[in-house]
Amino acid sequence: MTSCLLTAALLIAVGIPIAFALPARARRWHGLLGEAYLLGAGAATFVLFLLSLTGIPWSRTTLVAGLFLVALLAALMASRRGAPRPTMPALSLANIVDGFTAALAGGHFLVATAAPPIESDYLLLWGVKARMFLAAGGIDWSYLEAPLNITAHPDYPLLLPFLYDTYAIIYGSWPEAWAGFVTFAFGLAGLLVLRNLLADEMPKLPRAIATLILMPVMFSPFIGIAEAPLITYATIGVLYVRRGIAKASRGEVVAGAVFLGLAAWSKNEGLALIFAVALGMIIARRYGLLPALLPAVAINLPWLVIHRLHGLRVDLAAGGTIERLAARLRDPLPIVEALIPRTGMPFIFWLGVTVAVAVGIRRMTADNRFLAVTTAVQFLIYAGVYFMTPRELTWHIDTSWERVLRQILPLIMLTAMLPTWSVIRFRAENQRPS
Amino acid sequence: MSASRVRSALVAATLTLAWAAIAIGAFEPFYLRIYAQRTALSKQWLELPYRRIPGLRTVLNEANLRTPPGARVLIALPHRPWQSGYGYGFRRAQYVLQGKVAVPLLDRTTDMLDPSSVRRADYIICWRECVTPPGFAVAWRNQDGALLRRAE
Repeated sequence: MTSCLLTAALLIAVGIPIAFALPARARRWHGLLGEAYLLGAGAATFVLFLLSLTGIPWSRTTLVAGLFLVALLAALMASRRGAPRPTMPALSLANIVDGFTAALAGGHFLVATAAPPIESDYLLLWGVKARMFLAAGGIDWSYLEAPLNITAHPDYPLLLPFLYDTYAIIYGSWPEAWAGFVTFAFGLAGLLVLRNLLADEMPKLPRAIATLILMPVMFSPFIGIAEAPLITYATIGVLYVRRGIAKASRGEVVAGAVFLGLAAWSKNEGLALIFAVALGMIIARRYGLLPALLPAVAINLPWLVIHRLHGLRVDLAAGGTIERLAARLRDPLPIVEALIPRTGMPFIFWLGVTVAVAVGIRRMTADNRFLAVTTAVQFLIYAGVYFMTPRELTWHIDTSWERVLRQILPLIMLTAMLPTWSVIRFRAENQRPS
Repeated sequence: MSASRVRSALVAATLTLAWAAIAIGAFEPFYLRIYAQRTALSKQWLELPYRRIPGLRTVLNEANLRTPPGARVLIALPHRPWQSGYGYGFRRAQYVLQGKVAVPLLDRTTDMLDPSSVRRADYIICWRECVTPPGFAVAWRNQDGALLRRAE
């Protein structure tokens, strides 16, 4: 446990100058801590990736030296920018709600660290790759290239395996019992940043309530697998771009693009999200800000190029995709009927979302229109995959739909809650005696 | 009260209910129950990923401790076919045997025994039905399985 906390502290220490180097506005301390962890995790990924590509064996010395170099470069950039200092949040009665949120977060910590992760995808994909790489002292191409291991999705991006390896290298051996801590840390970091970003939207009490409501979806229940980093990076990335749209700020969009790039380094769905975000910006008519999304693509290019050079196969891209799509589009009802009862969320949740969106839709500003379109496009992409999948359809939906939908639940909830908050506030203001 | 005020109040009430519905739907009571249940669940979850092959976790962990890095370890399990059978145990062996090469007994595409697999192995991990092939000796065993080592 101590070594997990030390590793997290190291990642935060590396991430703080990177957060300051990003062209975004001032943060509160809790937002800075969350962002620093997320950016530090991204930095560790790139250090291990570069060490692998250059043939330098992984060790505590090479990893820490690489991280130090990244932090130094970021600090130099931040000092040139004259980054604004973080502000300390003031405590008030509204923070009592945060006590309940903290209790739930503590519960997630207990779940995540009760035992080594039990998810099959942890054992068969993310965990096994990390352990193979750790033993090899770098990316184990022989494992990834072996046809026997095609089911381990060798083409998947490597942020999570590299992050496990970061914890293992600092610890000195594989942190089997504490592997779930990584999932918890992403949830906590994401919630802290989200809370900071909500400060632009609402006063403290509704902000605390919104944080409490969003807590269970920001913390992934799928311990040990890449949903946790994807949920966090995707949510924060989209919210930063949304803020860039609201404030016509290129810097905020660049910051969002960095988080979106890290989302795509977590899972391939993150690549689809970059496309969805670009489409959302076009619908919101913010064409001028589109080039600011380039860092999201640039961050991912090295892995996209290298995994193709190594001939790592994408199993969903098996032949016959167009034929399957055409056949299933002719009769989409069986797929829709299979998807509806398997969302993993109860009817009351979807009823609340539907009502809130229906009421809020007329009041959507450009930034909220962006959020709604991005979320809807990503949702349709997720559902669309089942129209093309070469796998047995019912099995594929049973084993993945709830999980992938979880990736955008925070965005779905924010689409419902952010515009309606302004409606509630507007009505309340109208009711004040003059 | 004017009609617009009534309408405002109705919209605000509807949205409050919608937020409440979202909160209730998203709420995860397990994150509170876990405070009382963690100890019992910890024991249960330790074996859960290996539940279909009882005892396999211990056999794999013990074998991992007794095999050197780079060793080629044949995974001899009686389960068939690969999909949902042999593959279940083989993939878990790949995870546990860090830094070793897990050699499959079955051909994944044909579900047939691979006759070259024993020849390629330095060690064999077997579960329950352990038969020691010529040229191998028992390095470790318990009631659920054994680790066999190629004799010098």
